Order: sequence, then structure tokens, then C-alpha cells
Amino acid sequence: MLKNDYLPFDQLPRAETLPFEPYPLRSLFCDSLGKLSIWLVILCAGIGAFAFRPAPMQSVGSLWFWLVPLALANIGWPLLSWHYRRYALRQHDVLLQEGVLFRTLRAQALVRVQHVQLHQGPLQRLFGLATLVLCTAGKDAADCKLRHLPLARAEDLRNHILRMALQPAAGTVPAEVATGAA
Amino acid sequence: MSDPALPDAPAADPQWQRLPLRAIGPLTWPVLRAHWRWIAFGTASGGWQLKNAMPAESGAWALPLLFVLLVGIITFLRWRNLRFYMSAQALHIRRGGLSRQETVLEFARVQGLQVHQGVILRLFRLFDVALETSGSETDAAHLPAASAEILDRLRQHLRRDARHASSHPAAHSLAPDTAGLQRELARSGAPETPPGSGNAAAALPATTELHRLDWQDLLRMALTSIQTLVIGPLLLGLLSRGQDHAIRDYLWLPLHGFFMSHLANWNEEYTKLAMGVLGLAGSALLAVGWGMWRYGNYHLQQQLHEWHHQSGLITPYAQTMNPVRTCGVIWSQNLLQGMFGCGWMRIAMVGDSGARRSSEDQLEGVSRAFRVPWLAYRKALRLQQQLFASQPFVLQKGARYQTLAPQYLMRNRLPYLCLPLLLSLAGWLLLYGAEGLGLPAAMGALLWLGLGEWLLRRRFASWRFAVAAHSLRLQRGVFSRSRTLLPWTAVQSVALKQSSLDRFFKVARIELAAPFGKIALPCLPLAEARVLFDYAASQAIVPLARRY
Repeated sequence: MLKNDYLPFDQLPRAETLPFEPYPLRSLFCDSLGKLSIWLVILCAGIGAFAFRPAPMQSVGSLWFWLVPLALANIGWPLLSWHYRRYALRQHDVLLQEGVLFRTLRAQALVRVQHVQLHQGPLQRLFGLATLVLCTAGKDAADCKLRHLPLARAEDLRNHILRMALQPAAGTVPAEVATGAA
Repeated sequence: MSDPALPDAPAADPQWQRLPLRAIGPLTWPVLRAHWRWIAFGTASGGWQLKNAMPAESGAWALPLLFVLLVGIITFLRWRNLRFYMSAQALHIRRGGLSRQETVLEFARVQGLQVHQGVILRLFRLFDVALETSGSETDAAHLPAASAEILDRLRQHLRRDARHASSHPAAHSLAPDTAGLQRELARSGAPETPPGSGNAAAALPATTELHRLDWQDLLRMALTSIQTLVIGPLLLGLLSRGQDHAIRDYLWLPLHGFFMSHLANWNEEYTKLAMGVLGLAGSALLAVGWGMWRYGNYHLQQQLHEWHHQSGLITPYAQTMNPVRTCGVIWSQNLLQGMFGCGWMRIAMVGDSGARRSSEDQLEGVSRAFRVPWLAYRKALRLQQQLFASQPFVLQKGARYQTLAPQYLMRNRLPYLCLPLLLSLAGWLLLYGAEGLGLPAAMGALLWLGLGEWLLRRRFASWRFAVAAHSLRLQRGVFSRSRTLLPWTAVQSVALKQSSLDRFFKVARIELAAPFGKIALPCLPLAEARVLFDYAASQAIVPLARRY
């Protein structure tokens, strides 16, 4: 029977008291290396253009000078953002914390996950990392992405999430939500 | 104790299989469509290199050969790197060589199976198979050139899963509640007629008319449509100012000549005014014509558990939906519609994103929300009650409407009022110096600040939200007002966001992802935002089957 008990706010599980797990340190190197490779391509393109077309490139030489600090900031940014990236797994949802200037705390209910994707780019394969994407029925921006998880952890998490996502299909309802959350 | 219904972890050595070898041929066109830029770039740069290295007469065949070689290599790699494996509960797909992607899609989540077979696929006896879910990453559930055997195995898995779902009604959290339908039939005393039986026509329940538009409603709806009132005359005016344009030659000039020759005592200004009025009347007629064509003969009906609406005089359009799949209701009106007290009601549904294939790797989701036009708010509330007749707790009252944090005004003045003004001033000083900065500039700045401040205050005053036990209600909008009802069970994920400015003012933003889009509460006190975040997160984990 449907119950509609009063739910005091102070009895709700508090997201801010959770022990969030940091991402592995090699995720920082993976990010920085990816950005470095992109800037190297831009640098090579610039050098090549300068070598073949010296006159126009000399007029924008100062522009290249300003690109250097921009490149350094872009490559070094993962060091700062890694410090603020955390994740936590609860019994019925996954929480993500990320962002330096624009901080975000996101809760993704496991029962709302439609399917799960595991991405591994070439750099991620080098560092033994993977990105886990939890796809929901929301629009594209609503998908939950755990970037640069260790591969074994990502696979374990994927299997666990799939198991939890199908719990209603098994006819079982978590006991702790049967009492007050309905 | 293991539950056989739970998804099995992939076997230690699963039997990954590839698409049949003959799929390489049909895969060529999707590869070309998806990667034509890279192929063109590769061909052009390779051709440029070859041009210097090879004799001139061989250039005629070098480029086409290079193109065919590139397409062939990419297609072969695409075929080679796409593998799949069907376990008891899920479909596992792996794709990609350099950047790998693995998707696990449970059969229980599949809401539909789309099978296409074009001419080329038919030649190779293959099928383009797409599994539809409610998820947004629809490219994951796509096998571009599957054989009949693969298709049969997929269908067997889905049929077996559907049989399991019908014996366990709570199995499909997003599927129509067929067991609930049976209960309703029994309760209403209607005979339980199996589909396809001979007595189906005799057992059809009566149809209830919910909403209908007459010609006066259509006229008001068309005339309050902003785009037709503004874009119509603007377009006519722009077209008529063209140099050698047909409209100017065959419409504007003859009319202008008629006015000038027959109304000789009119001067040029009156003529232009008459032309303007004529343009406005013309666009109004166009709007009315569009309204009649699109929404003429509109009626909304309810038949047992389905809502059905039909409209259109020349090209009828019909849509049917099951209210059980409602995941949100939005009623909105623009400024002109507000004069008549009417608006539009949009009923967002779960799992109604029809997937349409646009390239090999992408399936675009097409939202088919159920829109009810020209509705007064009170009537919209009555329709909402019927919509949620099976879930009356969603509409439970008692929650107080709250406003946003008082810091909203101060927090938004800096980025939206002061910063653009300062940037414009800085830009002007850089380009023109202090020249031109005088009384007009000061008046312009004051006007900007005054209007902006008024708009900010109106926005703040218009924002209201109420957190009920089973739903969230929102009211917002200055010129275009909207009222939203979002059941908590439709929330997919919750996010609490704070920019640097938000942290300074100790406020935060809550974003709730729903199947039809994102609902945001922009500026809440931080403590309140945290409580709401925790509450929404605890509500989002409740399975949909627990609605009843």
C-alpha cells in the first residue's frame, strides 16, 4: 500500500558528509598530456605556416607570443581541477563533485540509468584509465560522466550499476525507500 | 543468494562476434557520410603530395584511387572494430579502434526495435537495427548491418524479456502499466476484451471530449502568435527593398503606382503608411491562414486510458498518448496570449523520443511532446487532474510557494548590467577615445541600467516554486510566463552548481534533469539548496513502479 509518511529533512542522508573518493593521480597526467599534444599540433602548424609564408606570419608574431601563457595555463589547468574532482558511491546513487570556478555536485540515481558506456581513448589506454558514462532518459547534458577512472574500477562500477538499475525489474524494492521515500 | 533476474556480469571469455563479412559493402555509405570531411582532407593532402612526386599524366587516376583506398581502409577498420555479444540480460557492444567504446544495454530497458532495410542492405540480405531506449546516447544501440540471424536472436531476447515483464508488472519501470490497465478494466466493469478479438468494437468505451477550438479561438491564437505578427511584416519589408526582386517588381511597385496615380492628393508618406498597413494586414491573414491550416478542427479526446488529439484542415495530424507516461506538464503563455488569458500546455512524456538515423554513428532524438493549444490556466488545471487521475498524490496541495534568495538581485546586477556596460565603455575608449562620450552616452547608460534593473526585479518577483511531497511546481517568466509541474519520479539526476559569484553571495543553483529537458532553480540560499538537493536525490532513487 502506498505510504506517505512525513520525512524530516534532518534525517535525509547528507551529501556534504560523504567520504568522496579522489580520482587517481595518473588521470591528471592523462589530461595534461592530451592538452599538450593538441598544443604541439597547433605549434607545428604555426611553425609550418611561418616557414612557408613568412610575411603574413611576421605580422601576427605577437599573437604567437600571447599563445604561450595561454597554452601553459591550459596544460596546467588539470592540476587545479583534479583537486576538486571527486566521486562517491551510495547504495542507490552515484555522486560527482567537479569544477574549479563553477563547482557542481551531481547525484545520479542508479535506478534511472538506462544503459552504461565505457570509453577508452588512446591516452587513457596508455594510463590504464576509462570514462564511464551513465545514460539516462534525460537530454544529452544530463548524462553522468566519470572521467579517467581506473579501468578495473570502471568495470566493477559498471557491473554494480547495471545490477542496481535492474532492481525494480527483479521485483525487489530497497527496504529503506519503501518506508519513507514513497 | 543469486537472483536469476539480475544481469549477469560478462563471462570471463565472452563470445564476441563481428558483423558478417558482407557488411563491409553496405557500411561504405554510412562511413562516407559520417567522415566525408576527413576523407576529403586526406584525399586532398595526399593528392597534393602525389602531384609533386608523380608524373602529371598519372594524376587523373591518382586522386580517385586514393579516395577509394581511404574509404576502403576506414570501412574495413570500422567493421573490424565493431563487435557485440548477447548475454542473457543485456547486449554488449564494443566499437572503435583508437578510441574504444563499450556499451551495455539491458534488454529490460529496450522500449522498441527499429529495423531498416534500404536497397543496398536488401542486396546484401542485411538489416539496420536500432534498439530504442529512453536514454540520450542513442548511437550506442545501433547495429548498422546485422544479418537476419542476429536480428532473430535479438527479437528472441526481447520477446522473452517482454513475457517476463508481463508476468512481473513492475519489471519495466518505463513501460505502460498493462497490469494497471487490466485492473482498471475490471474496476470499471468493462469486459476484458483481448486485443484482436471479434468483440473489440462492441467493447470500446465512450469517448470524452476534453478540449476543442472554435473559429474564434483559432483567430485569437493566430493573431497572438508573435512570429507571424513580427516576422511577417519584417520579411515583406526586407523583400520589398531588394534591388531587382520579383516581389518589389510585381507587388510593391504596382501597388505603389496604384496609390500614387489614383490617390493623387496623397503624399509619399501616406502612401508608405498605407503600404505598411497593407503589409500588416497581409501578415495577419497569413497567420490566420496558418492557424486554420494547422489547428483547424482541433479536438482533444479521452478514450479509457488514452488521450488522442487531432487537428488540421488540409493535412490532418493526429497523436495519441498514454497519461501513465507523463513526466511533466508545462503551461506557458506569451505577452499577447496573456491578454486573452490563454496559453499552451505541453505534456512531456517518457520514452517518446523517436530515434531518427542521420549518420552511421548518430541517432537524433526527436521529442514528440503532446501539445494542447489555446487553453486557459483553470482549464489546464482541470486537465491536469484528469492526467494524473491514476496518481492523485502528484497533485497533492499543501506546499507553500517560495521565492528565490534575496541575493538574486545583487548577484545578477554585476554580470548582466554592470559588466556589459563596462565592456562597452572600455571598447569605445579603445576605439574612439573620449570622443563621443557625452550626454547621449550617459543617457544611454542610464536607460540600460534602468531597464535592466526593472527587468531583474520583475524576474525576481515572477519566480515562485513549491516543493511538494511528490512533485515540484514552478512559476516564472516576465513577458512569457510558464507554470511547470514535475513529478519527482521523473527526475533523472540532480545537480547543485555554484559559480564564483554564487560562492561570494552564498547561493547555489539546483538543476533537475528530466526526460524533456532541464529544470533549474537559479538562486537559492546555500543551506536551502543543499537540503533540496538531498531531498531530490532521495526522491529520484524511488523506482517508477512505486508510483502506485
